[in-house]
Amino acid sequence: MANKIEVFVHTNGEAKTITIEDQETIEQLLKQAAPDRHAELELFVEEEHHERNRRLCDVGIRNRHHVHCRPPEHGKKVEISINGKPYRTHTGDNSVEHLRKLGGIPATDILSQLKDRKFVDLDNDAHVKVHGHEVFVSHPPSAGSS
Amino acid sequence: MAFPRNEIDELKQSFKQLSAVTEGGTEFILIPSLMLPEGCEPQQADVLLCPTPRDGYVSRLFLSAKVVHKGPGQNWNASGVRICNRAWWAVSWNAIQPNAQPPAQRLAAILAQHLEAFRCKRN
Repeated sequence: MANKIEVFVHTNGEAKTITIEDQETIEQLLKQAAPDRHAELELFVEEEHHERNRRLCDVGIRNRHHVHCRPPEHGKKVEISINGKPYRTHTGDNSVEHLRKLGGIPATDILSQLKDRKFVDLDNDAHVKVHGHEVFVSHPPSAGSS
Repeated sequence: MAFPRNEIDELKQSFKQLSAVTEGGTEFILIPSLMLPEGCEPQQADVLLCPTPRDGYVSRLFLSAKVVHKGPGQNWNASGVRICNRAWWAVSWNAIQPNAQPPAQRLAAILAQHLEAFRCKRN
């Protein structure tokens, strides 16, 4: 039985909410999300790439899931640093959720990007544009003032 | 330099001018022109990170100016203290619980924790 689901599609830093049946294909989802450029995009669910002919329900896309679209060339892997360790990830938009998983950062810790002489705290639902060589640092919340 | 090379290199990617300075057998990391969290006045300051125990704290962060800010660290308990021939200011801030077994924290993480004292909490 087909169910209507809402899918949050992130493309180039913007999120679009698409209502679609879960029996539809990724191709259809891409068409609805980016009518003018769907042919040049690929779809990733938690950084796993899925073919266009697959049904949403078969690749685990359920109601209120977040998925990411990007051109194939944006998927080029580059090196970043998380807590001093090197990791490889794709260029372009990376979800903070993905970066946390990659670096094994506990949900309670604060994740910051060290950039331009500043620590920028990253919200869990934010995205970071990765070009390569970005530095991320995590730490537990401070004990505070005494 | 007694600090781990890879931890210094990590900081140097953003703070190219940082250096290690020593006074009285204590090693500090001097970072010129660190951008402070949003809302701080001035927006940047030189900072001196002491990542080892000092003044009853597990670590301390000294600033080159008494910064006006709306963060939780409002208790300035070091004012104009002289270290390496400069005056420094610091707030009372525990990056980690003093009685807790300190986890092995990287220098960048210790610095980030101290900067929380100056960061406005989000709603």
